[in-house]
Amino acid sequence: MRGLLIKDFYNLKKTMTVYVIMTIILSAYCAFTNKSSFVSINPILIFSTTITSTFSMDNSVKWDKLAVPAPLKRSDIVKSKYMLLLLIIAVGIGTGTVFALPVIFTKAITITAFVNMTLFSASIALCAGSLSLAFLYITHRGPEKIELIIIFAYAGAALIVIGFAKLLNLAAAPLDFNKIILSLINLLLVFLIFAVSCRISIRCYDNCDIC
Amino acid sequence: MEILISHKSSQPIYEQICTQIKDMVLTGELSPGDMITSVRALAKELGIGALTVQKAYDRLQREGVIETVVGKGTYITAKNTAAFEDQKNKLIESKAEELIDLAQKYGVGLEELVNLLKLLYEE
Amino acid sequence: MENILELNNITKNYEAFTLNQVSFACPQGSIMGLIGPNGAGKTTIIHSILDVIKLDGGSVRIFGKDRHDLSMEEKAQIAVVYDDNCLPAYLAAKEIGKIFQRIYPNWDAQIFQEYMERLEIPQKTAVRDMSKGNKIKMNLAVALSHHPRLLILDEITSALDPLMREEILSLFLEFIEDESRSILFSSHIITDLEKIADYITFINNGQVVFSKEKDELLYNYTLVRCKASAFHEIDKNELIAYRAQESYVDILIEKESACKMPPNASLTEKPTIEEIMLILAKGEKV
Repeated sequence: MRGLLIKDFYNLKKTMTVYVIMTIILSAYCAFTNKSSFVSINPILIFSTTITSTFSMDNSVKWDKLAVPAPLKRSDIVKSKYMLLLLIIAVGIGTGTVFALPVIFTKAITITAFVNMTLFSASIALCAGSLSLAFLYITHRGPEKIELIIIFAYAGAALIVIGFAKLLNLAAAPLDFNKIILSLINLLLVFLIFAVSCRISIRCYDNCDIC
Repeated sequence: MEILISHKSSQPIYEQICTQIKDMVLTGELSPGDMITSVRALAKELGIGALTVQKAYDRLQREGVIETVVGKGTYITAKNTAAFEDQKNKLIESKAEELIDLAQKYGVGLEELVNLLKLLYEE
Repeated sequence: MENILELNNITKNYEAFTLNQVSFACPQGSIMGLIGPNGAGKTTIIHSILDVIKLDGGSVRIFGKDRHDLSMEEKAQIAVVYDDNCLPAYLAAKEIGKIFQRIYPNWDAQIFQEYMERLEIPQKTAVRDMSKGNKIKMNLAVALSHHPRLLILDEITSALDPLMREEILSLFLEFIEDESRSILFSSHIITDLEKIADYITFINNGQVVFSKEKDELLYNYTLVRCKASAFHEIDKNELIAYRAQESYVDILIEKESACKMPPNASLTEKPTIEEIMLILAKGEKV
């Protein structure tokens, strides 16, 4: 699996510098114009959209024709993409935190708000990524319109996560839970979606013809 | 061991290899006890399939011209020199017969023929 | 001699095409050429050997085991090069080497470097910026660098010029100097196979037409070109196949039957593999 992750890492490095610069500019903009809560969200959401591009880069050279005969299990090939999603989100969280530090110091946002936004956007990113990957593996011919997939996945994820949040709020109302704990539970629910998506993808990939 | 093969000849390549190795033994280029190139190395040298060379070697081994010692290599053997003498003599005889036929056809007598041979041999 | 690769009645159904009960075996230590027209099923066969597609019937045995029972070490001993680049297009040699080092336990970085130099592949260029020939050579260098025992090639030489083809054929003969290794080589350029292949398998319309020793094909069969007017004189039982043109008929016969051909109305010669293929694919079989 490590070889696959490194391949995706190299691929992203070569193609995603534009995204990174965009993120930095956007976050700087948000930091200076008092939309401070968005500072930590940007990296997480923007970086996580790159997962589908690793898929299309693989598909354009039919990389799977080399990966499947290699000493790798088909399930590992799928799992590496899901692992990559987690890693990208982690990098996004790290980057977001770094950008948010100055903003926190100037008290433009509280630590609680920051943690909440981070958890919230991580949930959306994870959910959207899971939906995108599952969709790509189920249709497996390779996406013709990646942008559409991204739009639908993120819209869907936003709906799901907000929906969870509302439900949790409703359920927790009589119990006066800490907001952060609710966000954590939300994230855990999204992890369930992540796990289910991974199982579905593995099942599809195990039984399909690569070409 | 330098072998020349022709892809365009109607003689199968493995036969060409056999003939040439036997020739080399007849002319003394290869002597009994000499080690010859392994099957696969020869295949690579000549740019041909190993199976073809293997066939040639198998045949030569059957005819007692070479012998393969596992782990060591392939050697020319002294076995069956009678077969060699045979081949050598047959070749010369058949050429001689051709020459005689030709001489008879054009009315060249035996003595004239022998003188001609002497002259040419000395050159 | 054990078979390094065995296909037993493999069947795969597609909408427009069926691979039907294909069986043949590649003995260890040999080079087997796979020939046939476009769409005959050669690539489908290769895909099924590599488990890239799932079969509807039959089995593939590699290294004496069912394909699905191979261990990871054994899988690492199979290498493939396709007719198109499959390596990450944005990356160059160094990164690709690092990737494969972590995929194949028996990856040899030094040999990879040597092959890159020997095949004159530019080392700092991204794969997508290379010429088609260089892309294929790069894929080949990667395939050879994890010391495979079974090398499978799907029409890689069509993109290469004759000079490079010769270098690569020589490389294959060197590869096969180790008897534990074998090559399955699908190609349109039949003259390449005529030189270095030990066995030839001809696939047409999803079926095996023949799978024989190359020498047997070249030397046990004779091609006869006979005047159309004289064709009816020939006993059809002597023929294997024939292909009628306007004024002459090309006939494939066994060598022994050559004397039974009408001497004044025919030409006899040693057939090339391509001619055998054409007669069997496009002509009438008897």
